[in-house]
Amino acid sequence: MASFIGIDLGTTYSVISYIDDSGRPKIIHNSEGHNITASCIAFDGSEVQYTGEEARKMLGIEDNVAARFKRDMGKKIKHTFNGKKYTPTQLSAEVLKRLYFDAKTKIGEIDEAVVTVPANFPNEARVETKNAAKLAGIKVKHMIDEPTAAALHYAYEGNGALKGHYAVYDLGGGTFDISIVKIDGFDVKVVATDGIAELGGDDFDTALQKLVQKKYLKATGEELEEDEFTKTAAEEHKKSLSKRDINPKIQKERIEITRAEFEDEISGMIARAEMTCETVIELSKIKLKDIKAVFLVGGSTRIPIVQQSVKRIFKMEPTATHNVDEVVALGASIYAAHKGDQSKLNIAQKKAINKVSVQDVTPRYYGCVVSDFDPEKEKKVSIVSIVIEKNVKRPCSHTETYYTPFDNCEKLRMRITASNALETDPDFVNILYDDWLGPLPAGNRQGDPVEVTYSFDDDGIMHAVFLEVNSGLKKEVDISKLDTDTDSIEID
Amino acid sequence: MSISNNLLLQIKLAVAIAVADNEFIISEEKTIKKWFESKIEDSSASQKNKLLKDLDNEISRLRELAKSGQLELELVFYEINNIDDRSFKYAALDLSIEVMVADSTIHPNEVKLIEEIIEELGLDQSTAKKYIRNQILKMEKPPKDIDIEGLLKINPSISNKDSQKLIRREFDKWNSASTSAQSSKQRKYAQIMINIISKVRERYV
Repeated sequence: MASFIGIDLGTTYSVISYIDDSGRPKIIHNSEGHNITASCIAFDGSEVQYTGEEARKMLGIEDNVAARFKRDMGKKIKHTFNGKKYTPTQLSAEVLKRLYFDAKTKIGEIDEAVVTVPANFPNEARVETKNAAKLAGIKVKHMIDEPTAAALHYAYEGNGALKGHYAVYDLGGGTFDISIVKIDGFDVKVVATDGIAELGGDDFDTALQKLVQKKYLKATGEELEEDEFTKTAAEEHKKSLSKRDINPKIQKERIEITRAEFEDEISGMIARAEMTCETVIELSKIKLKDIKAVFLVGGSTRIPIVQQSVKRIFKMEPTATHNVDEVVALGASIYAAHKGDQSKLNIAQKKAINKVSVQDVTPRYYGCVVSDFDPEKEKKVSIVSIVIEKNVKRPCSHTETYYTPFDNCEKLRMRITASNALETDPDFVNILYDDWLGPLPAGNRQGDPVEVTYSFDDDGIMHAVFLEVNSGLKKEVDISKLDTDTDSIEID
Repeated sequence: MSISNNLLLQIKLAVAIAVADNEFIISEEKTIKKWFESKIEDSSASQKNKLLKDLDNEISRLRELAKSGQLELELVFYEINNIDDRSFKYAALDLSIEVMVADSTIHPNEVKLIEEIIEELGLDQSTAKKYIRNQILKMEKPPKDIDIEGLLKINPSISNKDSQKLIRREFDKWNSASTSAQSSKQRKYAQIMINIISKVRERYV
């Protein structure tokens, strides 16, 4: 019997699910019996001591605990523990190993897995997520964007009854995504998506921690050390704040924090989410009145001010009919079975899974830097020319033709760019690739065509081809193998 | 050999911007000097020394004039417009913007003066805005006290809804830059800009 699993590799917590014999997605509880596993690793020397809740409890108290490394995926950042350096990919692989081990213990051998990524994850972070799975020994053929996975689960659980446009508001531990999707029974099509790379429960915890530190200083005149009110403690108190005011006892002092004070502290972050929602509604070209429901996803959507904000923007009460921590993983396992080897599904699974279909979109604007005449400044300037727009249905491919700038041009610079907003300034875009196409054949003329083709696969990973048409000189670029981040940072 | 009239016109605008927030600080003066050095790099060493001395004198003189309100910008605009060269006009604006952001802040008075320069020289608003964003990313220190409302031309005659729209457009730019800008320092600056913009939005909800 085949096993298909979906993994929601989260910033603060991760979740894993599988498709049971009847074709229904089910959460796999970890060895501690919990539906969620903390994305934390505690090291003992150069060995992993704990992965999960035990490690989370040590966070902020011990120095040798890794957490929130998902935010660094694809960046040239290394975390150092006991003198040993770890990339975010290696750390993510440790979390995945633990999840995979728990899954195998519960359901036996696994055939295929799908790992989810935030919709606004850049190319390099997607590639590294796949690499992390490989390091963990998990066969990952496909990935799915987190809000899309959640939408798929809502569609699946709706038993084909959903029809129309829906918003998926996904505020997790570290990232925020908002997608507008079109659901027609079991068919999920993403219309538009946007997000914020660094916004989530972790930032709310930091805000609460700072608020407590500020009030403690005011009450006692003394600075509060980080290990006296850790981020983990802040996280626990944040949960309580959703129900009532809190007064944590620190040393001998009781610090009273009202919900209003906490909400004031995070209001700027909520404003950011609201602006992103407004942008995605505009991008989707869907009228607010035509959005039938807003599905909540991610633990941070339990915070009352978040729900009030959703209501304010979408003019309706948000929907959270399923466990907001689990929906992404559940949708991912449906997707794993949908994309997996169909011959391995039993009749019941086939019947359940074959109904679904998913259409995702490109996560960013992708372009290349070209030289163009600026009529305003009356001089040649470098600008970004977009080859593939954001929110285009994927898989997709598009070719743009550019021209050699002068006679006998020896080589052409190829710079592949990515940006979250439509941007023509090269300083505001990420340069994914920078190299030369050449040498061009002698005798080439100004205005000879050069074709630039970008393609997107199902997983949101891009491939590029640069072609000098007359000579046939071609350069194929596999973005998934590039070392894209130019900054190197080490974190102790 | 003395400072050419064209360079002097640009320096006059730059000093006016530097004094606009009532503080002429060292980083603003440095920005003018660095720009000036790039303009005289083909001169001989002795000429350079003389020109740099002249620049110091001019800056001191212009600073005093600007402080006392006697730096006649109308005349500067008139002379620049007479040159009738758009790229020269933009060069003057670019230097003024670089001086404006040199202290990592953008004061409402500085924004007003930049607006005046754009209007008087007949330049394009969006090109100027692009350059301001560009220069914010290049600040030496993290941005603070940025007059977002001034930059976005938000004023009491604009409804809250329209103000929110303008703020959101600016937010989109910086939100994109927070993941796409080329260096980690620039991405951090973009993050700071997002925080500043988000706080401003609260006034229009």
